[in-house]
Amino acid sequence: MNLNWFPVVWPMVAGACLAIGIMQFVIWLKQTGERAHLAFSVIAVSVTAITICELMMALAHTPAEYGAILRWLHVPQFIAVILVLVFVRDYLRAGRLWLAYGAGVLQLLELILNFYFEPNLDYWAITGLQQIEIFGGGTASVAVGIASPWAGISVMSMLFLTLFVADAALTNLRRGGSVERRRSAVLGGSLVFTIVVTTVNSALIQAGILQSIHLYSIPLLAVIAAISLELSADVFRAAQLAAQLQKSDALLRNERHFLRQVIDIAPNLIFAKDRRGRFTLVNQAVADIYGTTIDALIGKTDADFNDNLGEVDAFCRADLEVMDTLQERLVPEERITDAAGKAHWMQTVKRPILETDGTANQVLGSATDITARKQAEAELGRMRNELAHFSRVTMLSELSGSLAHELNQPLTAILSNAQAALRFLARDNPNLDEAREILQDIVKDDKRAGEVIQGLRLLLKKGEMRKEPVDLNQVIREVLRLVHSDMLNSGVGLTTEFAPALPTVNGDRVQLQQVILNLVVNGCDAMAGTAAADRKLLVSTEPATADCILVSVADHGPGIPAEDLERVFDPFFTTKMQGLGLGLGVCRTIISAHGGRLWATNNAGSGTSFHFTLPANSSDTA
Amino acid sequence: MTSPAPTVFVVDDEPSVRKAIERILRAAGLAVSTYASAQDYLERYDPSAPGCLVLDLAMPGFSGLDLQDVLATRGGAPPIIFLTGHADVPDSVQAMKHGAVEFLTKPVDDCTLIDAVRNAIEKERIDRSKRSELAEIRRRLATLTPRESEVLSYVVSGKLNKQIAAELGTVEKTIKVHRARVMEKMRVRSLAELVQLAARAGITSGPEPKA
Repeated sequence: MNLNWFPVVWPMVAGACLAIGIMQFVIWLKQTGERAHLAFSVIAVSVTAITICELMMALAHTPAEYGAILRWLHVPQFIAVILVLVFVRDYLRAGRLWLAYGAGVLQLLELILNFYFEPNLDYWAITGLQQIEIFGGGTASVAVGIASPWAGISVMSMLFLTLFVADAALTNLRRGGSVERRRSAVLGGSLVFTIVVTTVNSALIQAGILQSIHLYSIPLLAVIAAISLELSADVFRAAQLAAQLQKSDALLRNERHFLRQVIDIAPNLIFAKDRRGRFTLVNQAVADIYGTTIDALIGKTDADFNDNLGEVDAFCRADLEVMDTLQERLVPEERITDAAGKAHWMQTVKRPILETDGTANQVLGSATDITARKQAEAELGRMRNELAHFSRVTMLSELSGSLAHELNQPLTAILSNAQAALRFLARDNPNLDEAREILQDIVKDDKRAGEVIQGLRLLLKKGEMRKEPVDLNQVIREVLRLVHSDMLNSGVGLTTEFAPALPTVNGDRVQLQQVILNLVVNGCDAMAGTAAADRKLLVSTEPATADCILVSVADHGPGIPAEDLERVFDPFFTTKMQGLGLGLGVCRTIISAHGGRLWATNNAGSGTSFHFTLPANSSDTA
Repeated sequence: MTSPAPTVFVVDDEPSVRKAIERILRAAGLAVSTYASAQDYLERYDPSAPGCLVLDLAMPGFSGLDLQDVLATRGGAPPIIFLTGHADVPDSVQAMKHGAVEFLTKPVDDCTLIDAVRNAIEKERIDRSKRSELAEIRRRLATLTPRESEVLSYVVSGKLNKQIAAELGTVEKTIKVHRARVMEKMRVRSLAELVQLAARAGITSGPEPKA
């Protein structure tokens, strides 16, 4: 008996396939999780089953045994074909689907018919077994019988499979990359070759043309090995990538560390927050102000570190607005209470962090501590108010005679009225109507005196600048009442031109009165040397633009030399014998603090006009 | 000759003060007429109306002092009581120099004002009666012939008839006739009366000596 290598080699082939299948299964399980790997591992196991079937067929003793094994061989074949379709589709990401379905459906039909016919799809009948010599020594059983025409379905199915694989391989080949090309060549080439060889081989055997055993196993093993190699290369590549990733991860960490130091050196508070107000990034300055560490802040909100709910609420609202509108926003000043309970004033820029889809779910902010600047500003404001007050007191003391007269008039009327009433009532038949009328007049005069005193008290009051909506026409009227008798004494004729329905301005009533008082008194003083008939002062208001009001005080004095038109606003510049020369400078400071402008021009005819503008309140009329 | 009741003319630009002053004076039983400005007063000025003027010193345009000056040039002005808010010395000096009877400071007490007004009215009444007396004397003097006037001036200067006749180059009898006619025309009965009248009319001596 010749040495029969066949029963030795075939189990080895089966074992190799099984080993590859298990290996790929482990890879799939542990590493990739990709369906292609699982499909391939099942293919390898199927090929193992096919190999075992082949071996059993070759060793079969009866035609019935041979037919039954051949019948069962169709099962792993079916599984292998279906999974090849899946694998190729997944792995190459190509191939026409209708070809795949064609192959799949024919394969299914083949499987069903295989179990319908006896003994199987390939033979109508197996009449006997023939022992043939096989190449290299040994013998194997080969069926003798009538081939079934239905076996053509199998050939058709394989044709579709071949076309599908070839198509997928070509499509992938055209995609370019070297990895793709190699993959297509290995996969497509080996699969097509194997399918063609095995199909032709089994067709020839069935047709009785070739007397040979089924030789699926060897080419299938080759293809399994080739693909396995390719898949393993993928795994190697993945490992390489992982190593690279680790390296770049280290670089990235270095970079992060570097950037961390960059943002930590900034005295500004730098932070990023998500929609729920949780910090996604903070620098050391934020940690310092909240008295904690950077790590403790990440994932927490302002509310976790700041007890001032008003502040926290304001931050959240601004943050959400920035994220919703996608607009950068400057918060000119906002307050934040630190861990020690001290309030800081911040100027903050907030910017949305844009996602790839154009929305924003995070906001990036940078806040500058402006507490010192605010304090300096407050100090400056306090000094400005002091100076304004000082200037008012000075001016009022200059006006005191006139103001006394303004008070004296109602007092005179009150005294005389009261005494007249006493006399009317002392008569035998007291004139009650007359007395009543007199009392009404007394009330009126008393109120008038009260108004004068009220106005004076306001002007003399020392206070913070307090802004409120102010009707300029009314302010001017109040001032003109105070200087009424002063103008009488100096023989100045007054004309007013008030724009009707003038919008209000936002301002400090007292300080605005002071400015107008100063300009009016200056105007009167300037006309001391003017002929009595020409001493005319014009005070006018008009809307200069839609959002700006212009007030002018025009005198008929000698005018101001052109080179001094600006100098009159310098401190201590004065043309008067008395007075410090602070008035106009203070006026300009007041108007500037109200966001307006004060300047002087010489009139076309004679004299000087002082003008100032103030921003008008929108959409309301006085 | 019955003169109308005296009126107090109140000039003040301040309506409430003007009205109050008017009330005080009316309560004191005086007739009052008010004016809002010096021009207003001048327009309705009647020199024959008796009374006094209560005048505000500081008024726009035409001030109280200006009005005082204008009235002085016209003659026959009523006595002026000035009212002022603040007593300014130069102003008060000027007012008094120009013949103001009083210079009162606002607010003014009722008695002070009423007393001042009564005094002024009394003064004006006396002035007025003096003025009308003088006018009567002047009227009588105007009826004298030039020769009778001449004789009157000699008589007043205390010359005897004989001396007058010698001066005028006529006889004593003629002088006596002239003198009787003068007495009759001047409606006096005694020489003393005549001298008094002549003195009031400012005739105190004879004609300029013809030397």
